[in-house]
Amino acid sequence: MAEERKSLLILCRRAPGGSAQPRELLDIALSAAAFDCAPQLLFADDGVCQLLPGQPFAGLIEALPVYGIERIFVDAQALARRGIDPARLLLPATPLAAEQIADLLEAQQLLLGG
Amino acid sequence: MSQPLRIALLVEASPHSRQAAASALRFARAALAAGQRVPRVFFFGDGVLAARPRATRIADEPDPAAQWSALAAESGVELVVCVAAAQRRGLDAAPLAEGFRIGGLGQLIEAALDADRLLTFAD
Repeated sequence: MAEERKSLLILCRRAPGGSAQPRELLDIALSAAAFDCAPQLLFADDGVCQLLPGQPFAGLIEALPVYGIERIFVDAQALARRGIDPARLLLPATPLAAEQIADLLEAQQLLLGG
Repeated sequence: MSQPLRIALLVEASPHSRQAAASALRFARAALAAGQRVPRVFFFGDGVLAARPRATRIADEPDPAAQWSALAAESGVELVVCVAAAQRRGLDAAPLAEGFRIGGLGQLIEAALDADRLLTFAD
């Protein structure tokens, strides 16, 4: 396609257990990456727990950069509220403050997830 | 009237337990009635259950598969069911309801890139 790709952010807000939604949302991210969409991921609320070692699809999270998903963000406040040390995360996600998250969402043409 | 919007829909909610699944159908009808375009509805997650036809009609209850089928027949809306999500839920074992077809996630991405808006109905 000649036209410029739209910017896409996938918002991962749910804990890794409890439903299939978090895992299926990552399938969308992988598919978008395969279509050269350069999807970005933001982990917020209980979704930050997807970045913890030992969760059921931890291997997939670790492999995201291999699939070309390199812009990965995490809500710093959500980590702090749950007492999670950013150094423990499966991969180096960029921590964002609330205002930065607002700016990031504002900048997108496509948002998925929730 | 101004140029119609092309609105792609993503349905993730189960038609049996979530209001959002019914809202998606109502939204699609309303958008078309208002002169907008809905080229494709992509069913994902538990939303794919909308493609399973009912063997028995249940009195006084809506039949989501039949409603979507009717919409597709009337307006040409493309109903695409994610193959992986459908397989996980055993939907590949029997024919889908009229108007639905199996597709890949690439068709969601394609619809999202082509459309002016993408709306998700998830809960």
